[in-house]
Amino acid sequence: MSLGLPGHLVQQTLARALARAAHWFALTCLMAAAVSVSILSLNRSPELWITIVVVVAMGALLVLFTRHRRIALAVAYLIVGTLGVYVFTLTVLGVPDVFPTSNMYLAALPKMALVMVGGAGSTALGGVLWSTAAFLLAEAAAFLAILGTTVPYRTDLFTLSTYLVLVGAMVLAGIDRRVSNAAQPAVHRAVQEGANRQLRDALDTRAIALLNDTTVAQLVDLSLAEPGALSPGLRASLNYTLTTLHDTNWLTDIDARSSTAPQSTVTAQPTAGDDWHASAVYTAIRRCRDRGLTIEVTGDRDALARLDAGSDRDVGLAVQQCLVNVILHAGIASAEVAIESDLTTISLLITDAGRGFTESESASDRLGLRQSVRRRIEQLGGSVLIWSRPGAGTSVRLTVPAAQGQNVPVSGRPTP
Amino acid sequence: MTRATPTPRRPRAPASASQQRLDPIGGLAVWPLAPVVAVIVVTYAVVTTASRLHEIQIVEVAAAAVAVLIIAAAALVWSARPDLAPFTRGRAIVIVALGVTAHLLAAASTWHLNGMIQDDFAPIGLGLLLLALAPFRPGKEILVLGGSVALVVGLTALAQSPFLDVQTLPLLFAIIAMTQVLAPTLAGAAYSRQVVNSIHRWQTDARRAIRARTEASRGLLAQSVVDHRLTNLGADVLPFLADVLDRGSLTAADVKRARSLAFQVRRVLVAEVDHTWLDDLIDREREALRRRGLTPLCVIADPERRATGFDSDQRAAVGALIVALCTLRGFDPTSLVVQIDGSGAAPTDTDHITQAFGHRGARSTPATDTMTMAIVTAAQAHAAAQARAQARAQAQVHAATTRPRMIIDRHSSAVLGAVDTITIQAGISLPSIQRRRALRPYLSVLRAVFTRVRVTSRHPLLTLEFDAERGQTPAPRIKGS
Repeated sequence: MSLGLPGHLVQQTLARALARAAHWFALTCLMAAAVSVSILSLNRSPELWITIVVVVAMGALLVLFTRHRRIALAVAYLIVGTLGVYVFTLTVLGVPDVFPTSNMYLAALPKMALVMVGGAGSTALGGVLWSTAAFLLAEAAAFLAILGTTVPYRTDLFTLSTYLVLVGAMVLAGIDRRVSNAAQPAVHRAVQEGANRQLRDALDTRAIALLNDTTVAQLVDLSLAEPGALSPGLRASLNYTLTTLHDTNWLTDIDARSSTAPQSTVTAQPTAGDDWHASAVYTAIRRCRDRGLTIEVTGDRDALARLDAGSDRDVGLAVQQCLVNVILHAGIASAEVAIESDLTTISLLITDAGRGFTESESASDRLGLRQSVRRRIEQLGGSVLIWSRPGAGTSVRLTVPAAQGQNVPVSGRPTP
Repeated sequence: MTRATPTPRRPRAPASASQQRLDPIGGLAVWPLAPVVAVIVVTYAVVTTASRLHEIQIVEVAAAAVAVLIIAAAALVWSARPDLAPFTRGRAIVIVALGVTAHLLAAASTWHLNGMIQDDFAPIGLGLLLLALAPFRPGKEILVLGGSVALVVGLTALAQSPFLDVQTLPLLFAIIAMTQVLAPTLAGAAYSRQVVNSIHRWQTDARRAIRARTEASRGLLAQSVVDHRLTNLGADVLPFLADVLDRGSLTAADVKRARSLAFQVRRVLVAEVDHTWLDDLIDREREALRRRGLTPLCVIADPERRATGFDSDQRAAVGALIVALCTLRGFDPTSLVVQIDGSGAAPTDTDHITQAFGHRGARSTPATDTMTMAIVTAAQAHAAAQARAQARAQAQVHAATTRPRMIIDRHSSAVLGAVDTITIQAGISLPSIQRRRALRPYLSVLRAVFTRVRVTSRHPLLTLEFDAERGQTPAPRIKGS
């Protein structure tokens, strides 16, 4: 992923993440303290029950504060925490003959939890102030409590170092140390331009495919025709080409048609024959038959109804291009279109017994296959496989995803 | 009554996501955390060991413990270095394993003589090392590593409890030691999770906005594409077709002209199809340099059109870098060279064509637009029908028998190294420190989306080389007939 956080969100995001981290640190300390004093209370010193209460109270306030992040809850946590630290230190260190000095890690646990209130600050400075207040209050409460016990006072480095690490982290996060403020917007621009370019490429792909289907195919047809009066088929296709290019806004019209629902979901269920005759594949086959190609159609023709309008149109145009290739290149006037389907896909196999071709030939003259067939089908999420050999014909298999079929017919079943 | 449309759930961030991976430029800002933590860990270990010499039974083992922890800290700093990004799981495991080794050595060095568990440097050091992983590794991974370490530390504490100065319940020592690891672990994991979620939310919204903006310009783009295409078609084609339709007849000159126009239009379209996003990008930069009054000479060498195999993030990263290079002070406009080569199959359009039922060496049959259709006699039609049936059967047999092989071949070739290597060279007359500072954020983005980013510099020539591994996209699978 290239889209990093923009400058204005960095501080806020890091402050939130630090707060979350601080709260989990505090909760772990409080849980450890609660478990420890519970074990001690059960096994050795029943008077420690009071410490369990203050630790649980601190934990409950911390959870509330984590969820709601209100100043009032932070203040409440600070007050309850200070009292809690006093009670906890006094009671725990008061247990006779266990703790030799005051700087016990167990006694530091609620203090460290209290210091973590610093996560409340939405800015680095705010966090540092909250933490400092908590640190001072915790140390003062602990000092007073220790005075009430018999253990000697020793500086608690655990709480001090925790406080310093937290403050250091907050200051580090608070300083905008981003090396270059220009880089992130530049990456954002590049992503936006990439998206524009991708859309443009998609439109270009369609446009080139359409020009190949219409203009180039038409010019080739004319170049192959005999001088004299235009045949009705040639006249019709010329008319179609000019109307498409002149009188319609091709790409926009295509988009509008693409947005219609899949044919199989319309409420009024058309009959099987209607589905087939309404499909773009049928139109493509009819057009090529008009141009003199004998086409045998086998298989599950009704499966085409499972294609949505956009897929139907593109599959039709791809089939048309395959059949036009047969007319132009195969040196034969017949071809076969076999339609197969399974639960999630529809395949069309266009086969001819013509000249065939080799990979090297197709590389230099590949516009039709590449643009009008492969890219079209790949844009639908489908795939194209081509088998060919000079002298042994060509088979092109177009496979496209389709809406789930309810009754999947037997593949390759010949239709009357 | 209409039902309210349910709000779509935001997609979850991938489990492997980390702050460094999702926001490489932001990751640069937090990397100093690693050396700071390393210094704290090492200082604490040295000071604690020196102040507890009376508890050490085997000095050599104690020294080894500190040495191993220093290595772990050094490994953390090395792993977090921006020029070696991304911070991998393997590195995290090595660091933690070194820390655990240091802990076991430290415990062995003070065996029977350890006064208090809470003074041991290793649990706290380990906790800090785990905390320092937060910007670089996913939260779950930190949790798993921290949990494992806490278990080891807890067991070691239990084992030492009979010999400690403070006599209380052994479980308390285990809890104390484990808390020293678990508290920073949970803090690190929580930080990682929160930051990753925030960045992911922002990215989702930003991408949605980008999509919306792109869609909003669809109409204008479509119109410009149509205009461009019609312009490229040439002024003659449509009037020629209209004229033929009006006349209703063809002359020999028309046939000749149609052939010539078909050739021209096809040639233009093929050239346009070969144009990639990289060509567009360089064209635009060339134009921008010209507008600045410079004479650019930018070279692209991508003969196999490997640029088409790059995903959108990779394209954006390369785009941002090239734009940054071209606008950098001291950039030599005649020096930019972008080259893509690599190993493995290039994303070509002909790689699917299979010589299914013949030999590759078979004589080719010319296939041109001017080929006239054969006259099909009845006998030929019969022969053709037979041949077609045979061709179709062979295609189906081939599809059924060789499809798995094709899929495996393509997949394994991707795994075995379908790698595109992009090399960008540019002359930049800037002191190397300034140049490094200016390009560092772009390089961090490159490292997040490419592998093996190498930067070499021979003033003023800067060479950036990086690999794009294709094969993330699964090979298309075709249902059998």
